[in-house]
Amino acid sequence: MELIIHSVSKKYRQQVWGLRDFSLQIKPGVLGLLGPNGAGKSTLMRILATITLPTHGTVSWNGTNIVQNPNGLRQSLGYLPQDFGVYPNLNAIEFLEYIAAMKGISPRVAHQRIDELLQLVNLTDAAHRPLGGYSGGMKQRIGIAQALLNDPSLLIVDEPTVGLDPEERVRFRHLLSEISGERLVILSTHIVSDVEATATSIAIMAGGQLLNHATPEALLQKVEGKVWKWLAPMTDLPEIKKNHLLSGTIRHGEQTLVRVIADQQPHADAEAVAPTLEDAYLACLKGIIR
Amino acid sequence: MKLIITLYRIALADFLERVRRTSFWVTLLVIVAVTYFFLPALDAELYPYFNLGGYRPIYNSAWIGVATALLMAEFFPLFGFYLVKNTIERDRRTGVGEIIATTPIRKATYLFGKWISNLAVFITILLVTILAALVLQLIRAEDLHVNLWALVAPFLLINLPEMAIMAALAVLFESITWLRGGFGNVIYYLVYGFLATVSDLQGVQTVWPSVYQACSAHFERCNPNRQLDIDAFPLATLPTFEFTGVTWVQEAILARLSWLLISIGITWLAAIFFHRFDPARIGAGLFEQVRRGLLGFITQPRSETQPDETTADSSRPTSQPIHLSPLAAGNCSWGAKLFLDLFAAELRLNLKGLSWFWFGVALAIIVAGVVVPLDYARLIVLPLAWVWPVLIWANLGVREMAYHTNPIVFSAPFPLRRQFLSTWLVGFTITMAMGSPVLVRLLLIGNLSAFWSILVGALFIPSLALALGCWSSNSKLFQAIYLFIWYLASIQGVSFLDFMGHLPTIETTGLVWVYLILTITLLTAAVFGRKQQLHQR
Repeated sequence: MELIIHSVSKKYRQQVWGLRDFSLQIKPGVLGLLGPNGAGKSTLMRILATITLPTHGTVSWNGTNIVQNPNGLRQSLGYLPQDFGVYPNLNAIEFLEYIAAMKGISPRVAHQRIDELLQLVNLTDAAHRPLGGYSGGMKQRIGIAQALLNDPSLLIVDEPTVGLDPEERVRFRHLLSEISGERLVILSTHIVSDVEATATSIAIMAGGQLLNHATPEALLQKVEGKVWKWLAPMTDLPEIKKNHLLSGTIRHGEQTLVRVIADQQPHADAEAVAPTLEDAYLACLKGIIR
Repeated sequence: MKLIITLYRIALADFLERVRRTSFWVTLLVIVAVTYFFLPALDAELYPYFNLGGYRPIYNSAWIGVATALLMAEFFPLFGFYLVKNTIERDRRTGVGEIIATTPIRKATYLFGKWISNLAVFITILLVTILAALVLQLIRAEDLHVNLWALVAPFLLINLPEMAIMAALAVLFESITWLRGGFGNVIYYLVYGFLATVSDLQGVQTVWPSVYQACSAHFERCNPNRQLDIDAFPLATLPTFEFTGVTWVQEAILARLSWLLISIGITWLAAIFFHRFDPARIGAGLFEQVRRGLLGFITQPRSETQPDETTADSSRPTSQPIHLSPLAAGNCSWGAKLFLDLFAAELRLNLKGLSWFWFGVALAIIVAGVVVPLDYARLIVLPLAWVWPVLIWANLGVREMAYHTNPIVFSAPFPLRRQFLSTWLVGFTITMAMGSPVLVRLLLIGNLSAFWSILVGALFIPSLALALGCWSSNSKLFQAIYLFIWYLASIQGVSFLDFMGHLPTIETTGLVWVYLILTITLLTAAVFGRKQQLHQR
């Protein structure tokens, strides 16, 4: 099971590129796709989900070019878009039955699967209520359920935890880890903690290009010894921001505990600390690590 | 002064938002094209014109002004309403409405701003039409003397008051919850038809006597009725007379201006119903709306936005172990049975949410098709049967974009071959079901040519809906175009628009083949439309 993205570019308008010469080879596991807003994550997701055609390049799923033959992938694809709607007059069961019919799942199989999925996303009690009355978080959970309907080999989830409360978010991360197994899961987000909890590899994007692709451990190793913290007066903060890559601040009375990413010790009082994935992500975006 | 500035700002923002849309410019182009064809060259073949009994006024400013204004007065309301009935909905959909609701603006001020914006859109269209009419007078060059007042007056006194009413009706319909959707679009036709019948809203009675008078002064056998025909002989062969313009007496001017006052009254009325973007009021019954509206009107202009209890998340997460049965290979395969499942799911989706009232009326129409004499069933019941599901057809090809389920639905396998085909089949099935009594009875008596004509109609309707839906991603376009041709075919009896085959004349004209070719063309267009939807950003 393998997804190969080769030199993919997507041009929207004159000189407006969503993706530029993007290449990546993805194996089973959870790939966390990280990047700031406008990095091209959703463009890539839409291309992989066969919604949008790339301007250049090829994408192949188990050796089949999905640009030329998208239906091969669609059979085994689960897709949760970042922004999607539901039919307000249908209830959860009817909506999932409709999507099951789209995916070619027989009603008998779909029936059992829908029961399980509604339990999984905690919507059993609300299953018979019209979707029009659902809250944002409940709609998001319906989205998660529909993505898992056909037991997909390739699961693409774009900002899946948006709108979920902390408890549901933890539950969803757990779900992703549990179901990944032999599947290929692509999780796009800008919430580093979501990736930290689930990803077996991480791709960092910016400006439509791939900046880094590595395991979380390898990324952390790259930034090892480059993260520093020290207590600084509040008045020094503008100067620190100006000269260093600030990764975090915590107020301590009249002083601030600053966390900085730098190749050299930035201050006499600074001490090296264990890096987090967020430090590695920031360092990668700012070009401190490659 | 502050009020005027507020109104100006509301109207300006809304007006700019609209005129910067491609659809606005397309509308202008269509209107210029229609004006061009309606004022044909003297040697043109096949053209529409006002038949005065074999005579024609020369193309001077007065006649070009009156003819174009009458054309606008009669046909523009049939689609102009749809052009502007979206401004409050846009504020609601974009969430801007909730921001507006938290400002101190009065409901009436907001709605008058919207009314002015609607009217500004219409006036822009009117100005472009006047310009097109003036240019056409010079192009046709039968009388090069431009009498600006004679040319412009009919537009100002005939069209402007009617447009003010349309602008106000659009605001009113958008303010009443149960009229803001597709049902309101259908009701508008009935309201407009009623107003045009019982009053001189279109201004025909105001200007036509002057035209007839001018004609009968030269010829004895002039047609006193305004009759729009399509003919195919050169206009130059008709005897001509000079029409010098409408005599605008004070009563006529006041009568026309009174429509402006009525339109202001309608906008005031809208303020009573307007929900001020309160989600708790959207969906309230008519009586409740009036009661709350009147209370709000009397007490204070602001309304408190209440949380919608129905959206409360009642299902709290629990700590359950995760269990999902794996799906065996081959469970996601395709065959005739699964296509039927998809068709059933699609049919249920189309019928879900319709009220019992809808089903009751549909059943009554079907029963009427069985029990009334066949001639009447064909002439009267069939058009009713084929207008009642208009809102279902209007959603064909649109639903995925309108509800933004397209990323999910279009990433399913074979979205074009299976989902698209089942969508069309659902449209066709509903059309056939509604028309079935007439079709079966024609078949039973062996009138195969009539059966064939109506069958083609049943193929034509879902194809038109799907083509327009896929290309516009908007249900309004089909509603406007379909109701327009349905109105002309069934109410006005315009035979060349008889796509339903409800007039016996269709069997002798060969028109059925035209509609069959049109159906195939529309289906092809629908396929390409869906293809571009599939890869829309």
